Amino acid sequence: MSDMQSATRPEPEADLSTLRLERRADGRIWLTRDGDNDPWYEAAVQAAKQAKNEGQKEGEKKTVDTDSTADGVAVRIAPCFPWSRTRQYISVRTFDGKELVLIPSLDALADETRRLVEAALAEIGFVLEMTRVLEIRTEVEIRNWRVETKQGPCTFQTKLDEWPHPLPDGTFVLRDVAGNLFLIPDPKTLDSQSRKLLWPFVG
Amino acid sequence: MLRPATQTETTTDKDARIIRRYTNQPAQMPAGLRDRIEAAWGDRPVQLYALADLNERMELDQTWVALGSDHVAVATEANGVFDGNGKPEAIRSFERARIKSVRETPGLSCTVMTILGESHEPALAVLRYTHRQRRAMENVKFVIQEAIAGNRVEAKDPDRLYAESVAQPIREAQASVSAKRATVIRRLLSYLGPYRVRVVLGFAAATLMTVLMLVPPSLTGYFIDSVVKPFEGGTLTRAQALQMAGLVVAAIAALLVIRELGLWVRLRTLAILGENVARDLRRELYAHVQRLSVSFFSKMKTGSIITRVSSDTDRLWDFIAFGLVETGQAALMLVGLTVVLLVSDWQLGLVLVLPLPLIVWALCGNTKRMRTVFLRCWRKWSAVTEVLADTIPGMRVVKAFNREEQEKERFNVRNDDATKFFNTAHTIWTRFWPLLMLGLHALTIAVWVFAVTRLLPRAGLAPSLTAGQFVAFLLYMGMFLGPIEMIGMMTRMISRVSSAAHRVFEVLDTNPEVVDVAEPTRLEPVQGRVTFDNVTFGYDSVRQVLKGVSFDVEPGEMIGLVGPSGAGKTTVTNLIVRFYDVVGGRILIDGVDVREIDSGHLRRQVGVVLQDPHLFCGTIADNIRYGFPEASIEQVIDAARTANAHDFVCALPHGYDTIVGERGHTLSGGERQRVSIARAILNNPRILILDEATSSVDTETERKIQEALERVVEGRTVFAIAHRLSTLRRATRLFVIENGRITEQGTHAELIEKDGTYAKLFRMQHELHEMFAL
Repeated sequence: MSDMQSATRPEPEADLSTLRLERRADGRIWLTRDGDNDPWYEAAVQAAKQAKNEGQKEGEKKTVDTDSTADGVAVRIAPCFPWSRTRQYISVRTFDGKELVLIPSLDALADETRRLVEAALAEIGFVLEMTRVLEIRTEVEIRNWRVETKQGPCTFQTKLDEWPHPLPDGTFVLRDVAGNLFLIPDPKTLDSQSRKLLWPFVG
Repeated sequence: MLRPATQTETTTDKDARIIRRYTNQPAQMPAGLRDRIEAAWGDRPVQLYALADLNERMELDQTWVALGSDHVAVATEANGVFDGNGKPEAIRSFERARIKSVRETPGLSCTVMTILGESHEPALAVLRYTHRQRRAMENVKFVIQEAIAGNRVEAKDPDRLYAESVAQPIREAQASVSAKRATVIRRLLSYLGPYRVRVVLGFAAATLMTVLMLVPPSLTGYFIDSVVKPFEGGTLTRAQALQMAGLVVAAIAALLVIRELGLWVRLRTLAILGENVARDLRRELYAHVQRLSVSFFSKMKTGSIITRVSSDTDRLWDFIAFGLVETGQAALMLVGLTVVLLVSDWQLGLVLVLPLPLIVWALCGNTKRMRTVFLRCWRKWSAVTEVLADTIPGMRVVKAFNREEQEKERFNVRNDDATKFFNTAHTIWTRFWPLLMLGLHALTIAVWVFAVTRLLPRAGLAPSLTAGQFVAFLLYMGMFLGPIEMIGMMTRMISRVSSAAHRVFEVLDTNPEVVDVAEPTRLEPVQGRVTFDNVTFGYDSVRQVLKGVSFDVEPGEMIGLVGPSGAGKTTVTNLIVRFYDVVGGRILIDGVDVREIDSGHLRRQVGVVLQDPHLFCGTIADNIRYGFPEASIEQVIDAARTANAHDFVCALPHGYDTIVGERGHTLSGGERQRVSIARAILNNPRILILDEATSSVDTETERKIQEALERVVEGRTVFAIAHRLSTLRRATRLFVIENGRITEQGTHAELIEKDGTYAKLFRMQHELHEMFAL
């Protein structure tokens, strides 16, 4: 396994500034060629091809490959530490789940690619941000929250033993029954009514 | 049977109700929009739809995506109102044939789904949604992807699928829409019906007690005014006074005796009544649980069901035996006191009665405040127990990595934190009660001040209040506190009881999914021919676990089911014994549809051996004849011999009388497995199902089990699931199941010849074996 990886991936000290990502018309991010001799691109094409072959199930109809073209491979951005190291260790993967590049730090990227990754990370890291708490009602086995968020008014539910999880910067994250995350800002910055309602849940 | 029809209707209604109550999104696609989409498709119906609730600016919004037989439509509206009357909204429709793939980019709270056409053209649709929509959107994705892979999945009833998907996380957490508390309590009270006489008796005794309690203070007042004072004033002789005093004392004594008699009647009647109601509920609940289908037990946690049958019903007993009547008594007492006080002296009465609502208000306020305080404490406390639940089971790891000190520190930090909060809570409640008492004392003082001016009027005026009235008043005042406290606790009690009742009723309201027809066929005996006719099945409505499985197995054949985990092997066996009903196609046993067969009777003729067999608390002999209690001892021993269990059972000091199960003798995995094989074959079943019967035991034990199995498969139709292919060497045919389909079938030799998945698996295991053999 390790032999295979070193064969398809450039050495760790390879220059990340030649890694080129772009957003195409289909709305996705693609890894494309930067100049004639781009080790990242060569490796990516190889890896993507390999993953595709492995993923193809026997007995199933061959499907059209929509994830690679003559000049690029569609990729997904996955942060390894979405909460603790937001700008470090970003994995660039194919849609089949194969890692193409692990970016140790965003600072090593060329400006354009970096901005693109930053935007993609913002989209992946999207959580609903509470601005005001209107009502928290305890019902049978469930707690009903009526809040205002930066994204609009929202009603959601948590289990009774689900508590907001404190983050180092004084904010909190709360997970609802569907799996959505809600960011609760530092209660000090909220209005008194919200603070009062949140009192049993934070701090 | 009309039940299943009404049942589906109510589940959808229930889901719709959950959506309306708990979310800001419509319970179904607006009819106007759906009409317009269908019109745009030339009146072809919408088969499936979902809501994408985020727009490209990542704001909460409504974009509907609908799937038809040939088209996909995406309808966006900025203000989120689809009433069908406004200007035609942007409905973008494209043909499904253009879709080449669907790609998903999952994020923390938002998933982006991209529906792609040819790679050079822009995406056909980009949908963003929060996790609440994920199931519904995954349904859409699933159907599209299956179609791309060449399998058409026709979804029916899009409203139901949508409502089910959106409501599911809430239903799983709560499992039912909370009805109004009053409705739940009323339903609970309906269980008192059969015990009407007891209820009346208990409540009559309680009422009598309460009313009687109002008499002694008045008597005391009367004694002072009409006996003591006249005697002191010389208008009453000692003999007369003593005679009257004797009457008063006798009356009070009689009252107290009657009161305690009443208390005895009340306590006994209602405690027994409560116990009976709890027993009725437990009996109904347990009987209902036994009736429910297997699917219920995979959805609800075991612990949760146990709590409902045990502690929830216990809580209801507490309410019926004590809570209900004590609350009633408190209310009655308050009303009675108010009336007595106002009638006997309205001025003094008002001094006491007017502040009453204020006191009740303060009490309720305090209860509410304490609830939030204790909520906070509870949170801190759960952080403490979390550490315990985390480390105690992992103690060996803690020790192996020498982390005792750090774990101690982690626990101490949380423990101290929790203690801090509990102490805050104590500070708050300890402050409240003395304050409340101080308020009540202030009332006493007010009564004193007010009374004194009337007791001791200016010279020449007659006192408008007698000493006896005053004393009676003081005694009445002392009686206020108890009922007020009771009323303060009422809200908490009602909410606890309604939650408990709710959880109990929720189980009772679940209908079994597998129901026998009115006049089922009984196969006597089953021959053992099993036919799958294009069977499709899924544990939820869209994702299919079996996608058109067909086979015909002759009586006496042994079939080995092979394939990766999750491919649908166990599902095949679950369907044979009809733990679930098929979604499409049919299953025939001896040519009869299983849905027509008496399922209980069928299951008695099917033996099942599972990977991790469950033995019940009881002797080994009892366990072997669990499904066939009338079996003779000879039959039990025979079955044990066949299952290779007889020898090890005889070696136990208590032999077949050895108690096994949770608190009994611990048998090893292989031993339990052999007991379960004996249990499965005791009744000489025509069909035998072996689900990974040998996967969790060592090689030597496996050999013994294998030996037993080779004896028991003789002359029966057998379905054996196994990861170790060597255990299937006696199989007449092997079915390779992959991704819900039978991809290969034939004998071992044929499949090796074919050089497909089976051959690959076999070679892999063979190599592994060789490696370990070295």
